[in-house]
Amino acid sequence: MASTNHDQARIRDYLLGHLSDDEQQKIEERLMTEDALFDELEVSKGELIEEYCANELAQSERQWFRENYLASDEGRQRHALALALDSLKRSRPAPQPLPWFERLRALFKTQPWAVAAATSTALVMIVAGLFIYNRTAATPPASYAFNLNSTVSHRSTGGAQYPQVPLSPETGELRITLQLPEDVTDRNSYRVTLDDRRQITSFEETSHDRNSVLVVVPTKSLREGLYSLKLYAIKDDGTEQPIPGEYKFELVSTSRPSAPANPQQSGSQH
Amino acid sequence: MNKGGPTQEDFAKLLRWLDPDRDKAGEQYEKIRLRLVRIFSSRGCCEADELADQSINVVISKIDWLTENYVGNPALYFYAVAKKIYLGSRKPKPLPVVPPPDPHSPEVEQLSVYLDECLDELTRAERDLVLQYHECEKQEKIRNRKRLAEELKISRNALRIKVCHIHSRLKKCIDLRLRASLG
Repeated sequence: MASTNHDQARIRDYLLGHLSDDEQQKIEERLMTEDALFDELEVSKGELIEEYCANELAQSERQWFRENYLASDEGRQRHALALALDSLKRSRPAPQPLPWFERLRALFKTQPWAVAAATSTALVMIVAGLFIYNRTAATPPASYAFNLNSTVSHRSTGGAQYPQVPLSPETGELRITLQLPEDVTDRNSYRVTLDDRRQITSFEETSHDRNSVLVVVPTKSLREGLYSLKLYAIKDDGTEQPIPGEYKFELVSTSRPSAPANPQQSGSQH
Repeated sequence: MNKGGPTQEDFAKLLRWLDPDRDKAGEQYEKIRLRLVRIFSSRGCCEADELADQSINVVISKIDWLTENYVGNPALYFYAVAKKIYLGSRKPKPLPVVPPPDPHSPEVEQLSVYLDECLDELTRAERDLVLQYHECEKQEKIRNRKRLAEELKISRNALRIKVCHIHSRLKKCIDLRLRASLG
């Protein structure tokens, strides 16, 4: 996003009631037409709510914000969500960024017995690791691989019929190759969302090339039904751009893999 | 436009006015509507969605004239109408005071439960980022975010946007759960 520090300050002033009528009109006209400024509005609202909750706003600003944005349905919802996040933070502390070796060094320094305990634990773990490795190497989880085309590049002409993907108890994961639409330029990375009409789950790509993105979806939480995948390209500045279209498929529970319904989609059990 | 509201035909004309390509016109329409809602919300309107729809209906009622005569970005015409609607909606009597949500209310507790579940649907990196981003207060918070941006090798502004996008996804996830709980 290309919003400047000046725009950030301007949006903040807008939300805190510091602008004249003319200035307010100008910023709102820009909000209607400039994507970056509109994004900045969304970010600034979140930050101001955070400051409001932490009592970091001046009294007059606090009052204005409460009587205007926070009085709207949207403001009230976001305020409630910020309070929920605050309450969650207390019960679910953020992961500590301290490197593991520093923590280990501090432990050994203060607790000499830890060296002996760590040595025995390491031995047990090596033995257990070898055992588990041997077991998993013998029975790798089965995966089902298939390709999907975007609804943009492959519009259906008749009734909606999506490729059927067999879901057997042996299948541990789906390896889905999503073909990129022709006009999409190569990006650093991609994120994929899986929508089962009840919830949306996010996955990081496993790999990608110029034409496709591979995503691996564990099957343990999947059930029979229609699924829709959506792709997001992650730009260099960390922002995301949705790739037009969706990738749909139907998961069909079976103990035996069946042939995909659409000949353009290929699938194989590994 | 008939008195019962815009007809399908009027709406189709509006879409054509926005863009000859129907898909692009649909996107443009959604974008304009969302922005009107957000502007009404920023001005403290409780009924932001209704006011945005009223504004759109007024624009649709003038669609034949607009198609023939209006020159410029359609979004700005929507805004001009919305501003008039806003000024007309302001009542002389003071607005009822809406109490802020209580941090210990069942509403917030329920949201916490859903938020907890929705955090688990993020990738581990995203979940850690959101939790770390909201650590600390005041000066320490600023230092913490600077450090996070450095670790991720992105600008602080890109970090703000990244977290904002994750928040939007969390909100959608929570909304889905709220809707499901209402049946």
